[in-house]
Amino acid sequence: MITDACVYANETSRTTLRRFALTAASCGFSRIVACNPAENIAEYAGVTILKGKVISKQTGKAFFDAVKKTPADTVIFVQVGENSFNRTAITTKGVHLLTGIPDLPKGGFDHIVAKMAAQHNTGVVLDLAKILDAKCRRTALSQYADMLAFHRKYHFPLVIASGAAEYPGQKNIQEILALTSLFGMTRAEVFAALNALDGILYPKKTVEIVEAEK
Amino acid sequence: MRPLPPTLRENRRYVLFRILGGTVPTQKEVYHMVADSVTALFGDAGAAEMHPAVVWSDGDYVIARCTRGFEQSLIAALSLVTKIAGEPAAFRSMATSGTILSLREKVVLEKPDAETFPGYLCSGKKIDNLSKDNAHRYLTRDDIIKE
Repeated sequence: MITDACVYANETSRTTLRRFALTAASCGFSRIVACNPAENIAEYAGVTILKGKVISKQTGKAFFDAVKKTPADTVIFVQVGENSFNRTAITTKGVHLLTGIPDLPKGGFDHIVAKMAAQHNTGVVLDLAKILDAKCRRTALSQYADMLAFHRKYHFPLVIASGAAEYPGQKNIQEILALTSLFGMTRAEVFAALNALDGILYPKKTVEIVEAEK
Repeated sequence: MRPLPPTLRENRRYVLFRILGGTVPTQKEVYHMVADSVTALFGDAGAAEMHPAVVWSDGDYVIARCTRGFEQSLIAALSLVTKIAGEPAAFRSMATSGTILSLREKVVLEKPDAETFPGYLCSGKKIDNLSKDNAHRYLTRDDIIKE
């Protein structure tokens, strides 16, 4: 399923969750993840809506409590921080995605964190809203290029999100291809990233029971 | 300086954009937005190579021109536009072609439906209205029925 991994349809947004879903359908998406949504809608205009929660950088116990208290059907995003915090976040059961890559401190994401993310099947979010923001565009492009280099070597999942707070912030597939080409992402990598959420939410198990064909 | 003969001229491509957000700028404003956005992202040298220009606009539809091979760069540059006249807006790329005519055939001008919900700007399922704090709210028909 082609997924927009993060839209902010919260109470401060002037766009309703249904409008986000309607725009996502017209942009070619079949699923969106709404972070801290103001409404509880499972599907609209043929677009599946998943709930998401962003957990910001916190000290040990508060972080684990926040992850534990999150309902099971919610996609958990963790705002990246120092290297040690990122390692803890990746190894914590229930954490699906790391976000806020452009705000990474120096040395926050190294080859060891990348390897751990690949082992624990934790995704890294490439938030396109950071590229649209003129203030952090250069940092975002350079950090995303580094992240892509890590992804090519260690094969942890990359996920693309529009990070839109209003519906004009949502991008269609052509625009995503154009924006991601700015930091060297190929067409195949973009489509793999758009479909990567399934692999994170429902990872392949070593042994699976499949029904026998009748 | 004499213009280049036709065989030496570069090939061009045209991209159809739709302006989202309810604000309808003039063609001149759109031209300035395109020029500023391309220069901000690719610099003067990149803009000179790309040759961006706005060749047609009607309502919220715009056709922009660029050198062949730079269509993706033009789309990337225009997707960085986030505001028009202080309101959230975006250039949504609709189609790319080698002729203006084929793009104009793809334009479907929507008539706002003011009768169903007076005071709201309705088109299809989408509805925009001006809230109390003088800012736009973006809804759907189902949101209004629910309210």
